[in-house]
Amino acid sequence: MSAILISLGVLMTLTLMAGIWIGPALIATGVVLLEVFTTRPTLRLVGTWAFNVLTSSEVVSLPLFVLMGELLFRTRLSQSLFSGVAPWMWFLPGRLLHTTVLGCSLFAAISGSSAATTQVVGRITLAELTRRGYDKGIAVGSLAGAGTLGFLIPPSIPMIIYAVLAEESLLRLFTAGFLPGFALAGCFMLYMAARAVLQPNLVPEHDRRMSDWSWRDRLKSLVELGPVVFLIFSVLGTMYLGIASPSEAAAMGVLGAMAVSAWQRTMTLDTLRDACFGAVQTTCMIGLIVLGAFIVGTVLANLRVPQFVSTAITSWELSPFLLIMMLTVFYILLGTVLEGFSMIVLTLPIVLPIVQAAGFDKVWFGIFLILTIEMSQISPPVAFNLFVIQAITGDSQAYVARKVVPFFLIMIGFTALITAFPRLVTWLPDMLLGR
Amino acid sequence: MNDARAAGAATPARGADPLGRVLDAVDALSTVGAWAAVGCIFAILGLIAGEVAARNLFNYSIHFAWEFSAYFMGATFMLGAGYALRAGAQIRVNVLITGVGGNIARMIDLGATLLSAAIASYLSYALFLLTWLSWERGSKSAQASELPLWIPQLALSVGAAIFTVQLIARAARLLRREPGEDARLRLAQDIE
Repeated sequence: MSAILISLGVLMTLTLMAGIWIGPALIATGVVLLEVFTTRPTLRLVGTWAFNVLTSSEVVSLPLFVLMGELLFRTRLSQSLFSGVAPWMWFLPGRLLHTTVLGCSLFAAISGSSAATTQVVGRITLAELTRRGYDKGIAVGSLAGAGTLGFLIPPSIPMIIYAVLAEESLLRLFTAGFLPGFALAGCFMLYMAARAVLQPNLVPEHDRRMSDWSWRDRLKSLVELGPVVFLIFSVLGTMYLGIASPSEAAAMGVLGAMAVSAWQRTMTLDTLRDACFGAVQTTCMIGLIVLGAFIVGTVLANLRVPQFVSTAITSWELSPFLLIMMLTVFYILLGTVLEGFSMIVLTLPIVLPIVQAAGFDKVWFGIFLILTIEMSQISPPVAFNLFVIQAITGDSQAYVARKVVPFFLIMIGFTALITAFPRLVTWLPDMLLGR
Repeated sequence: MNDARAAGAATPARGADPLGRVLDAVDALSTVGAWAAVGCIFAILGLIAGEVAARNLFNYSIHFAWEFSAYFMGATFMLGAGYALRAGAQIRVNVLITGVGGNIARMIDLGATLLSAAIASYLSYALFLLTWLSWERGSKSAQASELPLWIPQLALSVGAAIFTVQLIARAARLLRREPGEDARLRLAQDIE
């Protein structure tokens, strides 16, 4: 067994460090292990496995959600979100600072990606907040933190990947993301409200004393949110009213996004073509890494590696809480150099059996993993959400990274919270979908 | 045709440069693959939306919708892989390459590209072999449609072959000191 483990480590490190694309690197690792340590017909197995995983019906929602995101990205939803949310923020300490978090939470419910969420919400919101004289640091930090909600609040692209690799129900995972997603958004907002109370000058004096919006404006602003609500209904509504499965909801989402794009008059042949080709690029990127991960995972399962590792780690008799905290540290470190998708696919075959042996539920671990990926999105040097914000504001990475620290710490605290109270994650899916 | 024009516009005029024209042809091939992948995504959209409509409005189920959309998805994944590579959308760990810089980086990149091409050709071979065996044995889908499996398998195999060819072309570009990616093709929003 140690020969297998050493070969696995060496092969993966060498192929990945050499700069071989992640999918091919994982395929090569799997093929070599299978060829060296078994007598099974590698070539035929690789063909069959590749065909089976790439045509597994659990993943069908993936290209559709990706296409939906590309379409929405090219609409005017940024403006709608800000104008729809801002008039209502008078009632909270911190005022318009909350537009970042609320905007992200709403957009997250129609988008499966966190960079898209950050970008769509940030485009208008950051400019407006800076123009009005809000503290830029907290605006930037909250946008970076809340942008990651794109992964936690369904739909979510990494959850689709997790669902297929962990053989877990996608609808269950989506459902499990709601409560933690909105609770985390709530924590961000509490923090900002507290900061605004302690340091009133974070909010410009004008906005502290008077509201620019009357009740009439507030009611009108709800019309602005119309397209967003319509899209949330197209995706989540159809799924939870039992009209559609996740893949079907994704198809409804694409049609809904096209309708919104046509209604906002942003739909041209050029934007449609760009959205389609953008969707192909992302879909094929994900397809290739999922293929590699599936092959290496299946080979390891054949070699009984996961059982061996989980038995070894179980024999250390760590408390489940300690195990999860160790994994959190591990993923945070890994997240500084890898982006989220690679992190899931590289670690899942080994880590999942370990946490299952420690008594954690697969759905719970999926949500945990999404949280760690979210943290990796904002931990430099490889931090996609920070890149997006740098591109919007032109600030240095060091500045954005410093401003995101409080939100990063809130996320770590939140991870500890769901570890201590796993029901936060599993309660909603158990209640809605049965055990 | 639109594809040829798009590929032609992506690189300067070749004139008397046979290898350059071959590389342009590879780009055109990848673009055709990408169009096919777009077509597959719309086929999935049509099948699934059709199924939802049929079931909720007419209480009738299109029994092959699920199965066929999964095949179309497999075809999407592979047929667009070469184009995604050319656009720089395929991901890898590039700390080493960006870390060292200069000629050494170019050599490492070349080595990584060639190794990736070797792995991709193995995958293509495995998929073509699967297709061939399905054809020879007359394997059919286990679902109600009884679709001969070589049809979707062939689509995946062709996609893997395009990906392989684009990797080899990338190696050639690096040797010619041209950039490996065509930045103008990059459209995807970073998903993460």
